[in-house]
Amino acid sequence: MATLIEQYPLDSKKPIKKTLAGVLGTSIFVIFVGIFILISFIDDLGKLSSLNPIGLVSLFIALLLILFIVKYVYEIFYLKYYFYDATKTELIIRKGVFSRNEITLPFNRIQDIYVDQDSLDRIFGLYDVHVSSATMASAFLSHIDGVNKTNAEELKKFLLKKVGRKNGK
Amino acid sequence: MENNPNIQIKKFVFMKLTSMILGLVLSLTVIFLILVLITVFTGEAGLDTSVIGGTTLGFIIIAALLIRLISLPFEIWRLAMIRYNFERDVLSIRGGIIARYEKNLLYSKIQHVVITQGFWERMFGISNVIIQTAGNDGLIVQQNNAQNQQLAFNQPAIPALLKEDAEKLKDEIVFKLSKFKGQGL
Repeated sequence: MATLIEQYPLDSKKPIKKTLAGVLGTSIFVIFVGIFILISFIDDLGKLSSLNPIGLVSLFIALLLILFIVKYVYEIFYLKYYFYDATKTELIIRKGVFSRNEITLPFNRIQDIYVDQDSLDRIFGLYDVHVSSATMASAFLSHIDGVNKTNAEELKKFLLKKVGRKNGK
Repeated sequence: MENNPNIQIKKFVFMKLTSMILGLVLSLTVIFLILVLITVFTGEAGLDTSVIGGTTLGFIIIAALLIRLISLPFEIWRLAMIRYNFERDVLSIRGGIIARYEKNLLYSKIQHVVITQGFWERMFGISNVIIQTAGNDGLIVQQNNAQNQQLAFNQPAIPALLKEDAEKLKDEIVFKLSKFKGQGL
């Protein structure tokens, strides 16, 4: 039988979305820090005028580009090692490139299933399927990130059916 | 009957030492590079501050390393003390060197089982099995990978197992709790 990830695979747009999110976050942070440093230079106008704005901006862009490439490669591997499957009684989700975490959730312990999108997900048309149990750890580990609309719907239906049956309804 | 988990103490020690040494080398290199950059950009005046700052930082890092080295035997001891036992209704995990603990986890209340492997743990082929209930222990979890080791100690967990042993233990626990149909709350 095909595993769950083969039936409802992750979307190929996931790496680029995660990369963009990371790079955008970093660049906003760097810009804020940069502004802060510039403000501290303001009382010394001579120093400020000696700065080369074009050089600074191009350095910034070059660093962002390198970050983008590194992060993208990482995210491709992250996608490659992402694994989820359902056995008869439990859901298994495994992820991580350098470190690896695997969670085994029995269906009858699942509390609720919800599908959400953050702002970048909206742009790329991706969905996250969260499967929460009563522990805090489940919020970090038990979610399936970055599937397209049909797969998200199918996964939701599949899991709800399993959970409902296990809970005797 | 008490089970002595097949904890890989030798691998754990090698892992700790390697991560310490490589961490030391890496951090000293980074500091050195930063200092070189400072000196290059600011000239004579930068050299003095670089030397003073570099020595101070170096001392701090070596002190931190020493603390980790001193605590290593205690971590090994802590690992060696861990015992677990599958009783009729509960999984009990005992451990501790001076302060002892005994965690009794009802099969009917266990929510899920997590197997974690940090970066160094993967390099040395060891995993931690963490068993979670809806109790407060579940609150300590952080996804930060560097803290997986810490996470393993804070929770009802059996750390530093071989991958196969971890899988086997997980299967055993999941089988036990599959007999209980409720939600465990």
